Amino acid sequence: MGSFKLGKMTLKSLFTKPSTVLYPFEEKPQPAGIKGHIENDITACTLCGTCSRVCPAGALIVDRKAGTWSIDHFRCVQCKSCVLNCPVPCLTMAPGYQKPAREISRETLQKPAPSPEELAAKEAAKKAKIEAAMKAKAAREAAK
Amino acid sequence: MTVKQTYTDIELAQLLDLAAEKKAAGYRCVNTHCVNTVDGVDIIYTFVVDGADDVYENYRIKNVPHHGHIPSIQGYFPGVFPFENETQDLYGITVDDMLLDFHFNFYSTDVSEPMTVITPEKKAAMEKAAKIAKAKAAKAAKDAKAKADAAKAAAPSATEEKGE
Amino acid sequence: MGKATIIPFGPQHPVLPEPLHLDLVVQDEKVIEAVPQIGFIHRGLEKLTETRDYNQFIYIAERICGICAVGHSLGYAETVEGLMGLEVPKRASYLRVILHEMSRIHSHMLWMGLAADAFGFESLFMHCWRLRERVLDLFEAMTGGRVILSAVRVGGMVRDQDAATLAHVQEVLEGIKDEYHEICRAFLNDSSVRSRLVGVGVIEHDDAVNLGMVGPFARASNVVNDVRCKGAGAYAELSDFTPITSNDCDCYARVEVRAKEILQSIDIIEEMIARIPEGPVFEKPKGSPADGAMACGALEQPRGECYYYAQGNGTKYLERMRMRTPTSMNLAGMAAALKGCDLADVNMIVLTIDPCISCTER
Repeated sequence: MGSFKLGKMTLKSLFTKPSTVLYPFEEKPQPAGIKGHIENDITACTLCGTCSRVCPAGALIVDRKAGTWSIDHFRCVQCKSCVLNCPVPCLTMAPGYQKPAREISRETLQKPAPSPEELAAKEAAKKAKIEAAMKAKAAREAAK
Repeated sequence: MTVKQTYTDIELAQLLDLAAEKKAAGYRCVNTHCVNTVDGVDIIYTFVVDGADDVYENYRIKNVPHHGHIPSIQGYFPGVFPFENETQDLYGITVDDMLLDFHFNFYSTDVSEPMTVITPEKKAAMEKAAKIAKAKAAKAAKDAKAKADAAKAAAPSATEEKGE
Repeated sequence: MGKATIIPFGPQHPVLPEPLHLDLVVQDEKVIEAVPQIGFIHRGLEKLTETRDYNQFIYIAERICGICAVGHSLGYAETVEGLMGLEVPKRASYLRVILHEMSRIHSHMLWMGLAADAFGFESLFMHCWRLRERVLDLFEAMTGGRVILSAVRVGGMVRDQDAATLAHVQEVLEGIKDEYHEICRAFLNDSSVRSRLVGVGVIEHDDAVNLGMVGPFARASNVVNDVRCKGAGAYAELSDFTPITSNDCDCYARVEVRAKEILQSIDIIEEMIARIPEGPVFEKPKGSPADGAMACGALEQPRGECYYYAQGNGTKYLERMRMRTPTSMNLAGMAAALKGCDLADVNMIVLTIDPCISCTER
């Protein structure tokens, strides 16, 4: 036959349900590892700034002195460079993209100030380090 | 691992002869592009012949002066007209005797010769690199001098011992 | 002998797939000459190497074009690895070839849908794109993105694929084959489709060689020209590979070559999955490209041979990055194919070179 080669497929689509999904009333199932937005665990973050240096879009700003980490979700291109290069690691990519909005905004996270126990622990660790260094110096002098 | 490749530097006067030779040998011109440098524009032509050794031969013409003239190879390879018009528009080099010439209107950019513009960041990066290179050269010279002095100090004592 | 009229065609036109401008010199419904002009989507992306280092630039290279995204990221990564002398782990190069061949399948299916739309067969267009959705779902499961994958980086891949995912890939591709054969029959044997394609836009073998054409556009005119034979990346490990060519030199031959290439790609993917070695998929690049170092690379993208060139200057920013896309070489061929055709066939011929103007202009 010279024409209507698509007969079988056309007939089948009369009886099967449509291939499209009635979004937004039903959503397609999302696989694991799908791209979305960046989330930061600010308590673990050391504010080293590596993520802001590797970001190709310039979406991340890290201010060490003020203790803030901020991201412009509209600029982010979901490349995951920050997640892959974070040394801690405290950054993850979670599903869900930035929805349209009327204004461009940044999301800023503030690192919480250390509690008194943490401060005391830090002081103790510093003291122990200085003591160990003095001991090692004394041992070197004695060996000479 | 990438494809096999060679690099050769040639003079501007050899370009048309090279194109004629490659055309006669059955090569096709793969690409023509420019690199902007401080001393001028480097233009690189690439030829390959399929099915034989599959080597991408790159020929570079160094330091064509800015706003200079180069001959066109469209007589031998008519397919390179987009690249030669791009050379005109983005780098400001005039290409003579093209078969299809858009007279600087191929891309119609706002800024003429945009690829030759040196932005402030690039300028800062170039100056930093120049400073580092200068410091490295000075250090190397100092090390060489120190080595020569040490060798000289060792040599007279050797001759003294021998002379004894 | 009538007078000649000049009809401007594009960049905005309902049937034109890409922002290309053609000045058609027409006489009595026949096109005598066509002068192409591009430049509507020039973004100056090659100058961005000055402000993005070689690791960040791959995300820009990907976004040059939506359809060729995997190809550009792969070609860029291979060229910079050649520049720095990096050896990529074997498993990573196999995974790259698998993703690239899947990209070829999705690109050719997209093109076949557009070709069907160009001669008015909309239901065939929809069926092609429905099959293409399955490949895009595979991309989403493997890398997280449908079109811009960001799965390749300099030194290897971003993430590894386990055996279950690769088996799923094989299953889906085999499942596509049945319906795909029916679509191919509609393209190649249907009489109304054949009357629009056979004998249209003929470019003889000698003209094709003279104009330096690349890709399926050239292979349909019997020019054997395929970078996959040149052995870059894991393509060198294929047991046998012959490029698909056709001797007919017209639009029908170009449709036939692309239709058969999809089946060839499915075979290549199955071979790669069967032979993929274990191992790491990433090796961190150390240092920067040397001052004055040059490297070039080539890749067989769905549209043809794509040539890359990289030059280093000692810093982490590349001195020059050049991507020469296949459509720029095919523009001369397109202008030659348009000579002497009917005015109604213009958009069909423009479509058969598989134009990707955003790649051409960067």
